[in-house]
Amino acid sequence: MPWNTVRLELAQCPEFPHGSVGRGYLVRVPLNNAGEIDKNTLEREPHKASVRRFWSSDPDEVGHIVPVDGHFAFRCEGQPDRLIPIQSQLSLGNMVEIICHKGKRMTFRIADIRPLQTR
Amino acid sequence: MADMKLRMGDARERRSVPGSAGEAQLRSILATVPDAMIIIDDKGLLLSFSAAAEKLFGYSESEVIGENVSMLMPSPDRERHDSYLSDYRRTGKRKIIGIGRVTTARHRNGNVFPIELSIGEARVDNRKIFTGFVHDITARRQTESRLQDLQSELAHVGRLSEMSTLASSLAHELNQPLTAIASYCEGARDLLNGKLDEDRLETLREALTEAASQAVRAGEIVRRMRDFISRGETEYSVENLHRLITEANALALAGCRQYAIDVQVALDHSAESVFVDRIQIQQVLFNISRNAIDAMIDSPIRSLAISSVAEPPGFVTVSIEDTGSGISDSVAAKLFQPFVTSKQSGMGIGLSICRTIVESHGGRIWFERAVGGGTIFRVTLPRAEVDDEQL
Repeated sequence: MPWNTVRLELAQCPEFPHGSVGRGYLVRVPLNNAGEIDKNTLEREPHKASVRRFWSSDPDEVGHIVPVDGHFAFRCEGQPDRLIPIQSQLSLGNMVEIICHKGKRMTFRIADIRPLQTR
Repeated sequence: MADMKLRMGDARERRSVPGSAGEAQLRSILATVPDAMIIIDDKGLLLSFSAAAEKLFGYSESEVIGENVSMLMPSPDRERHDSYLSDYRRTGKRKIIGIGRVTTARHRNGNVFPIELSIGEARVDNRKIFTGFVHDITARRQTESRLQDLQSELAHVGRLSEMSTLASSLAHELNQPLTAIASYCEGARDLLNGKLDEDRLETLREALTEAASQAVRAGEIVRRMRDFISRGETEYSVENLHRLITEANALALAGCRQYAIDVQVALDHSAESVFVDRIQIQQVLFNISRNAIDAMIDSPIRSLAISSVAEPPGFVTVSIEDTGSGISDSVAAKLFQPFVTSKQSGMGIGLSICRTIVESHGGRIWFERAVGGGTIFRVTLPRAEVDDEQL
């Protein structure tokens, strides 16, 4: 199954009633036909998976994606893990929930999915 | 956060104010101006985003109004832009306004691309606003950078040719001290075969002293030749490393937008001033970044990571890491020698020029193999002990 770059953008929430295109994650992951992260492929090629958190004028955070109990963890250096449930469907337009520090849940919209380019 | 909500709301409300004739005129300009035009308030929040900006960055105006303009920038500008604005509010000192600069921007899809940015300021309803014109220089820079590349290669080839002539003419001169050293050493060896009285010892000392002096002379001849090869108009000054890297990156990324290069820049804030010849060091950084990009074009993952660290003492080490296929052992052994390359095109003198330049700055250049198969090039540059605010 091809690897994809998926862009998650912050959905509407009390703090950002219109959502925010300047806040989210750019993740490079293998997806299966259901749009879920393909755990086997991920475990086979862990260095290929990556996450970049962008948050307005905060410094970018860059890290890896690792499977943990029932979730995939976005693991950026010096930051607590952010967790995305293992059954999350990363399909265009879908909403997915990410569990942040101290259990705070934030919803993100899948704004873009594109296969990893090869020449 | 409450303050942010208020300001965002503010910006969105301003946009929804029914259009006056002036606003209609502005809308018309924004829809047709060929370069991307972006207007922000003095806190950096987006007030207006032209049609060309929508196309260039991949966002619609309605999505970005009220967001911080830093979202359009890669790190480290992204996290620094707020402080640039507050510094300007505090000091009134212009660093970019009215000047323009080649830098990089980030598309919605995460790709970093080269731009030319011009900024103006104005006062509207007693509020300060900043207008940015963003020109995508991908194509133009591609041509310019290749031209620059060719010019530097030609200049170096010219110098190599001169060196060849010089080497011939100096061969005789160099041969003299080497012959003398050999003679003195042979004489000294013969003297050791006999009984070592005071006279012989004195002669032996003289022979070895002469041999040493001839070796020094040979060294001076070699040094003169090196100076000639690396000669050029060098102008050392205190430069901002972040700016050097950004500009070199912009050049290197020209023509590469279709390859979706992921660029990460993480600089040590404590060591951003270097004492270098700006043009020469940009040439080095450009060469390494461009090689890195070329090495990644056929890789499924194309990630360019640039970082700096304030070490060793007195220097800054810049690292440029790619996720390409790495360097073969045969090329690695003589990587910094001229006319060695793994590329289909190119003369293979880029890195030899880089080494000449870096060493003439008192620095070092080397490479390491990265985890996962790519390559890391490291360059040390002399650190300038000045307040970064001055730059």
